[in-house]
Amino acid sequence: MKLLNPQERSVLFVLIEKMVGANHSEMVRRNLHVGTVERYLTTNKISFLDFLKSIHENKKSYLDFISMVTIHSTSWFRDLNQFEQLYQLIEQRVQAGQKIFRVWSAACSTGQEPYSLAMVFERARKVYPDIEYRILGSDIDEHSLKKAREALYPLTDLNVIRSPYREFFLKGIGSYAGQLTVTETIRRRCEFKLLNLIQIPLELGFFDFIFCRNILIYLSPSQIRFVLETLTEHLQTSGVLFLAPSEALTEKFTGLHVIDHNLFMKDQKSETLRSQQSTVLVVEDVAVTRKVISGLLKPFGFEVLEAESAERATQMAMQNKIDLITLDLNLPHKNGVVWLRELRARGFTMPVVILSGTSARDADMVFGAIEHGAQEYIEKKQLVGNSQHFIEVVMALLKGRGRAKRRKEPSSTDSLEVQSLFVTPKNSEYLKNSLVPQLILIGASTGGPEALWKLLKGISQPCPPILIVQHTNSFFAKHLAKTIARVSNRKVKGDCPSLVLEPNIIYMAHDDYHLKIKKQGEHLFLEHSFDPPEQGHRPSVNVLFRSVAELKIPSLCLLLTGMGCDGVDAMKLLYNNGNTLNMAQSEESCVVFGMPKEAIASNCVHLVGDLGYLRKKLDAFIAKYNSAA
Amino acid sequence: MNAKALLKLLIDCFGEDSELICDIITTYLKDAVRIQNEISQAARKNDLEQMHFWVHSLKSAVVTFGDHSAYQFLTQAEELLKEKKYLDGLKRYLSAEVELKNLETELRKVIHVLGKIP
Repeated sequence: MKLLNPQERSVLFVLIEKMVGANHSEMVRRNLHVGTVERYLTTNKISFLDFLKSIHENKKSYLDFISMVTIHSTSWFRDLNQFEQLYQLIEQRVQAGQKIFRVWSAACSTGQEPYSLAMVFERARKVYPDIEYRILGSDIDEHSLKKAREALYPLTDLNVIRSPYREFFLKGIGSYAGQLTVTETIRRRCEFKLLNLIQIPLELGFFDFIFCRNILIYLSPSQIRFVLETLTEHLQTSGVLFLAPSEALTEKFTGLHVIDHNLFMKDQKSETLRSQQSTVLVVEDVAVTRKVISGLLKPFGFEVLEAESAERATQMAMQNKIDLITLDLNLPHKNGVVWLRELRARGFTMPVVILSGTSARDADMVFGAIEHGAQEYIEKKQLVGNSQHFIEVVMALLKGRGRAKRRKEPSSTDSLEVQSLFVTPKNSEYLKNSLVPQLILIGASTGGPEALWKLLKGISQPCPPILIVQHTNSFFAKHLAKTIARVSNRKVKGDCPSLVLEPNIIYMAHDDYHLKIKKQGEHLFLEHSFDPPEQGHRPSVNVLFRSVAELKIPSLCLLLTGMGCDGVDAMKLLYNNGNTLNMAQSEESCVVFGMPKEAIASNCVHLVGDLGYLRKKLDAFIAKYNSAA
Repeated sequence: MNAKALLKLLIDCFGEDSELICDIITTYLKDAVRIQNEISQAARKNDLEQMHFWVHSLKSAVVTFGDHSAYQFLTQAEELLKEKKYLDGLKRYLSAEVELKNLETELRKVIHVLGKIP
């Protein structure tokens, strides 16, 4: 056998760690994989160098290597108690009204775990026949996944299967004698994907339950944190992560709330736990305001640093790992906008929340700060009057920051044609090919002003009326309208009730009222409505979108960055009309992935992309509108 | 806003953490004195820009205790000073000072109620 020298072994360990994330010290301890690779070199009569070259140049060699260095140990209903816990959780949630479930079996190897999970759901369906579910099995090894898709196992596996699950197995006959498979019902509920846990793609979506068992023990602590953060991102709120009983991790380490032994739930408590590692720099010259902000943040576990001047703030940003900044714009010697511009020029990318007053000067400075990379503004009045909002914004921005840190810089063509797990995207192809929109609808919240500027900057061609709902208060609404007019080089209207909609004009609320569309004869009118706020918002995205859905006007509808789920209910109506193309801003490009996330999860979005991609689509549909005109 | 209403506002925001509430109030009381001195100095020098800056800061400090009349007067003073209307701005600021004195009295009552007499 061709033996690897110490240097070659080191190269092999680094390669494995880079490609599959396996822990170097663990591999050394177990001398794992070395023998396998040595046997491969001997059998194929190649040198270690040629072996490395073939991995880089040949996809098959690469997949073979992954297969060689990953562990394929799995079994049916491994740690049976966890499957019983899953059954109980399903029952609890069904009784609370949930009917649709998505489950992810991460690192599923040859498929026994996802099929076992499907059997638990089928058992539950006997009692609750309305349940719908899909299981995703993923693994890094294509060979294992091939076996998972074939679903052929030794007949002897049946010896360890107990009632009530035996009925979901079929014994092979003829050429399949001695083998075992699962029923068609089970098989069609499971899909398998090639995924590396250290490079999870964005479009995977959100899950109610994630099983990731007996994998973390092979990873280093930093990799475990990284994988846990990724898995948590893909958990729905109240979603549960199942780790193996041998993987004894704490609440503090996982940042998730322990609900049972090695069962972790993503809930409000876990959000708080996750924030505990975050440091917020409060830049504010007024001591009492600094104290108020610290007083609000500290109970949520944030570490708070305070700077009373721009100079001190720069110093602190250079010396500490700052996750978020709250910035007063009225600083002595240097205003906050100038300081923020300098900070960005130094390469600091952390989110910044502007805390402002409500003078005209404040508004100008706020929008100046947003142009220089601030994500959100909050009136200082709200700190005491509505402190919950401030905390929610900080947490949402930090969550987005975590996502941005671990993801690649998006390209302008990053997009996803959403493939729903439960329904086929309605008329998606038809809409993309033939839709001539009469209206362009845009809804946005936290992070919206910056997104709107990027989306609408310099729209030069004639276009249908553009209607925007951006969550803001009445004071800032007027200033936002002015800024959008400047950036887009379009007239922005919406301050007068009963306006006839005209092409090339942008419409948005200038004060505290909803916008609604009405039709009279051939004309579309914009109306103000003083109906109560919806989901705490006036103007509300839902109100505008719903008024368009009721009139069944062909439209292009975009839901951009923001907290909450305003706009989603009405987007479903637009989707069901079948004459509106719904688009949502992608996770990695959102400041807060709330509203678009809810829309995607509700299966009412045709296209998802970053702002560059959405702008391209917008231009294409405007061109279509012009050629039709 | 009287002491009872102020206390309710602060408890709603910070919970029943009397240490923190007293700390915030005493910080405000010190801050307000410092900023008012800065405004007086700027006023003596007819330095409108500095007056505007410090009135804005005082407004930021006052807003901690809600949207009351001192805040309203300071907002008006700030706008007038920005428009270079020195005398009108100063008048509004003087009206604000009266309200600030009332606010200070009520805040001291809150501290007294919480048993932290400074």
